[in-house]
Amino acid sequence: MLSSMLVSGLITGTFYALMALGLTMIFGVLRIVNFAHGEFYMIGGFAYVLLYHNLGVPIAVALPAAVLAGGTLGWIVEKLLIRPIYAEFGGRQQGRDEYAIIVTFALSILLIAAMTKIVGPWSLQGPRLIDGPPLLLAGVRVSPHQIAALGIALAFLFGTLYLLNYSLWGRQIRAVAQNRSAAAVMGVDVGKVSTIVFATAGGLAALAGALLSNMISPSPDVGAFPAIKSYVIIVLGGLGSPLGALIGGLLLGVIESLGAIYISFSYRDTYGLALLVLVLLLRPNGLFGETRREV
Amino acid sequence: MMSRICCMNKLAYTVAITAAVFATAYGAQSQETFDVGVSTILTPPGSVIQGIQVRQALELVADWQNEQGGVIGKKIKLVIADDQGTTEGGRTVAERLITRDKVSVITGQASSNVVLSSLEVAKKYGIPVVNVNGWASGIRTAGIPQVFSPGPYTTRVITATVDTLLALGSKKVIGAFDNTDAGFSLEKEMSKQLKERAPQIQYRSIILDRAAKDYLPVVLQMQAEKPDVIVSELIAPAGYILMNQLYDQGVAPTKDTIFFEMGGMTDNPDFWKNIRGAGKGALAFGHYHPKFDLPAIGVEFRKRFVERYKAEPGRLSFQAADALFVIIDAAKRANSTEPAALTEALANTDYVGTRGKITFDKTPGPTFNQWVEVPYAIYQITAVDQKLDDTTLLKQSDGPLEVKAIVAP
Repeated sequence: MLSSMLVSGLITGTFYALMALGLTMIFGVLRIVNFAHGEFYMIGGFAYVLLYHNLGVPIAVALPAAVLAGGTLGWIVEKLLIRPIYAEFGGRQQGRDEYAIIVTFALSILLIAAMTKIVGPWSLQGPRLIDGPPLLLAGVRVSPHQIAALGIALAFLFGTLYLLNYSLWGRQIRAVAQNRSAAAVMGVDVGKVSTIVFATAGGLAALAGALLSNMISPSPDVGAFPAIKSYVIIVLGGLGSPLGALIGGLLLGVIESLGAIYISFSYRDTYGLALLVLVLLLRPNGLFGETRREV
Repeated sequence: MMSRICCMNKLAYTVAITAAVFATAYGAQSQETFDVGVSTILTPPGSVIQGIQVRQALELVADWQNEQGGVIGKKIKLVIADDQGTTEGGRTVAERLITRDKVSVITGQASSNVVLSSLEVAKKYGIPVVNVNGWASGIRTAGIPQVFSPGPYTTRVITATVDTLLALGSKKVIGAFDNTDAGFSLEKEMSKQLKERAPQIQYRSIILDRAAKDYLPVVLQMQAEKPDVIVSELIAPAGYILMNQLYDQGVAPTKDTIFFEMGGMTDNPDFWKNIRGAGKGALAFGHYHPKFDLPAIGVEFRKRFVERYKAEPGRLSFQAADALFVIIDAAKRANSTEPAALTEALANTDYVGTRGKITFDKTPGPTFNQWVEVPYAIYQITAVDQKLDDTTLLKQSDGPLEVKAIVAP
C-alpha cells in the first residue's frame, strides 16, 4: 500500500507542480498573486474538450491549441489588466497589491460566469490521449493516457526549468525577478518579459487543465481546486522559486496521499496545510524561498 | 412667488397621482399572480445539474397550469433565486423570497442542507416549504408543520438499499458518502439498519469530501479490501470522479464487486458526458424509471417535457413537478394562496401526482409531513451511453429484486 500511495502521490504532485510553476513565475517577476490562475486551468480543459468533442479536432491539435488558448489569454490579461499596475504604481508595493487582488479576483469571476454562459454549468470529460490496457505500477493501475499525460507534464516542467536557467529569455526573467529596476537599466525589456511570463503561466495552467480533463472533468468552477493547491505549493516551496514549485508540488501530492490512507481521507486537504505551517515555522520563506533580498 | 407655489403644487399633485397609479397597478398585479418562491442551485458549489432539472420542471408545470387559466384565477409566477446549494444561500434566499418578494410558498430546494437552513425561516414567517430533494432525516424530525417533503428521504432510500444488499447475498460492503447533511444522515441510517437487519454483513463506511477531485487513495484502499458491493451516495461531479477511478483501477463494477449508485445521479443529463466504461454494469437507485406505470398526469408531464426540452425527464424533474402540483392542488382546495391556508391544505393532501398518490404522513419523527410511499426503482446499466428506457429494471418500489436479471460487466 505504501508504494502505491507514493506512486499515486507523485503522479498527483506532478500535475500540482505544473499548475504552481506558472503561478510562482508570475509572483517572481510581477510580485503579484494571480487569483484567476485556476481559471486558466479551466479554459485549457474546456478548450481541449470542446475542440475535440464539438469541432472534431484531433487530439494532437486540440492539446497544443488548449495551451495556446491559455497562453493567449495570459498575454491579453497581462497587456490589458496587469500592465496598468506598473504604469500606475511603478515599484511601490502600496496600492499595487490591492489593485492586483481586485483585478484578478474580478477576472476569475468573469471567466467563470462567461464559461457558464457559453458552455453551461455541465462538466464534460476530456478524451484520452492514448487508449489501451492499463499498466501496473507499484500496485497502481496506470492507464496509457495517464502515462502520456505524465510524460508531457514532466517534459513541460523540466523544459521550463531548463529554459529559465539556461536560455537568454530565462536569464532575463530571472533578472527581472531579482530586481525589476536594475534589469530595466541593463536593457531588459521588462514589459515584454512580464508578458512572456504571464503567457507562459497561462499556457502551463491550460496544459494541466487539458491533461487532467479525462480524470477531472472540466466545469466552469473546476479552477478553484488547482488554484488553492497552487497557492499552498508556492508558499511551501518559496514564493517565486520554480524549483520550490516542483518540489512543493511533489511533496504535497505525496503527503496528501499518505495522510489520506494512514490518518483519514476526510482531512486530506489539511495535511498540506499542516505541512505548510510546519515549514513556515522552520523556514519562514518556504523551502527554496529567498532568505534575504537586497536592492 | 405665487407662480412658484402654484408650480410646486402642480408638481406635488402629479407625483401623488403617478404614485397612486403605480401603487394601484402594482397592487392589481400582485392580486393576479400566485407568487411561488423557487430556491434552487443555479451556480456552484452545489450540484447545478440538479438545480437545472428542478427549474426546467417547475417552469414547465407553471406554464402548463397558466395555459389552463392558472390557480383560482391567478397566474403562477415563479420567483427564482439561486441558493448555490449552500446552507448560507438557503437561509438568505428563503428570507429574501419571503420578506422582499412576498411569496406565498417556497419550493425547489434540491439539497438537504438548503432545506435544513430554511426550516426556521419557514417557521418564523409561517410560510409553507415544499422541498424537492431534501433527503436528510433532520428535515422531518424537526417537526415543523410548514415543511413538506414529496421527494426521497433517508429511511426509504436506506431501507431499499439494505433490502438490495440482502437480496444480493452480500458479505462485505463499503459505503461511500459525501460530507453533506444528506451524506451524514444516510451514513448513520445505513450503519443502524445494517446492524439491526443484516449483522452478518461486514460493513465499513467512509465520508468523502464532495469538493475533492481525486479519490485514488480511497479507491486503492477499497481495492485491497475486496468488497462484494461498493455503495456510493456521492452526487455529481464528485460521484463521477469516484466512479471513473474505481473503474480505472479495476475495482468496480467487476464480476466480483458490484457498484451500487445510491445518490440518484445516473439519470443526470450529463452522466454519459462524464462516465464512459465506468457506468456499464453499475446498479443504480432512482425515483423514476420509464418502465414505471405512470398515472395520466405523469404520462402527460413526460410528453410535454420531451417536447419542450428535447430530452427525457429525470427523477428530479418528476420530483420537482410533484412539488409544484401539490402546491397547486392545495391552493385549489383552500381556494386561497394565503400561506396559512396553503399549509393547512397541504397537510391534508391526497393527490395523484406524476408518479402516484401523494399524501403526507402526520406521525412525528423521520416521516413527518413526508410522502412515505414515494416510489423508487433499482436498475442496472448494461451498456455505455444507454438510455434510461433501455436499462434493466430490477426492482420497483417494494417489489422483489430480480437478482437473476443482473449481468456481470
